[in-house]
Amino acid sequence: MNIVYYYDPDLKFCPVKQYLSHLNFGVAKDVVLLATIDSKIIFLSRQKNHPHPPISKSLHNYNFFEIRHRKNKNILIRVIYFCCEGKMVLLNAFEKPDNYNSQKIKKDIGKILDISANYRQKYLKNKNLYEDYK
Amino acid sequence: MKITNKKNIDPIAEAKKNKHFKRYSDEADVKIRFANAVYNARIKKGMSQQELAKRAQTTQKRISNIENADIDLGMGAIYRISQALCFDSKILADIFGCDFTPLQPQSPGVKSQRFRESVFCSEN
Repeated sequence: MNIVYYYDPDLKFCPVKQYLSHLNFGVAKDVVLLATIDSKIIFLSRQKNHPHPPISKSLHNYNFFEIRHRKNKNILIRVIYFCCEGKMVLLNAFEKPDNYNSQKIKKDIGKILDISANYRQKYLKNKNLYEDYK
Repeated sequence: MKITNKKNIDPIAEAKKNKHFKRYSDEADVKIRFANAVYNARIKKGMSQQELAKRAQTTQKRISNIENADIDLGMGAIYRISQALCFDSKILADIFGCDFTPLQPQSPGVKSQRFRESVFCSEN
């Protein structure tokens, strides 16, 4: 399965690329993080259209999956993707705290997931909205 | 036709320029294979993360991190988890990317004779 980044025409960038660009390529810890995320993405691209727990899981009420990764003791990284016509489309990525109870955080995560659902709709309308994953 | 935006650099491609990226990537692959094997074996045995943690003398949170391929493990933890899930040599060979050649069954006499030969021949 080909891996691609979703490109948003309004934002004029790829949200997943944008998130990962915040990491420092000169710092070993961040390179390890990128290498692990890359390995997880490649591993999942070989699993056809299904999520592969525990590395990835489907999300209730959404037609996409999340790749689960721990950034550090308190922060988790989520990469949202879905599969379409032989492509694994990386839609969005964000961080969230571990073990949260706050309603505000739940609401914020809900907003990010809604935005990701919107990205998915835009991609389905125009399947040229992507950049290659190298 | 794909859309390209040259201003938006590819972070993974940039990270791949790091001379250690390949090693980090190989290590991540082993962690993912181990995570996968632990998760599949645990589900197959109908065990909860809590039960596995108890058998492997660790915590549920650590098992969760192992199954998400999020942490580096020491030999002790790998040994205890492998024992708790009864991993055989084929599973371990698959995880660590080693060749696996099953030994032919042989009688105890032949085995001990070969052992003696290997010990005494290596001394000479």
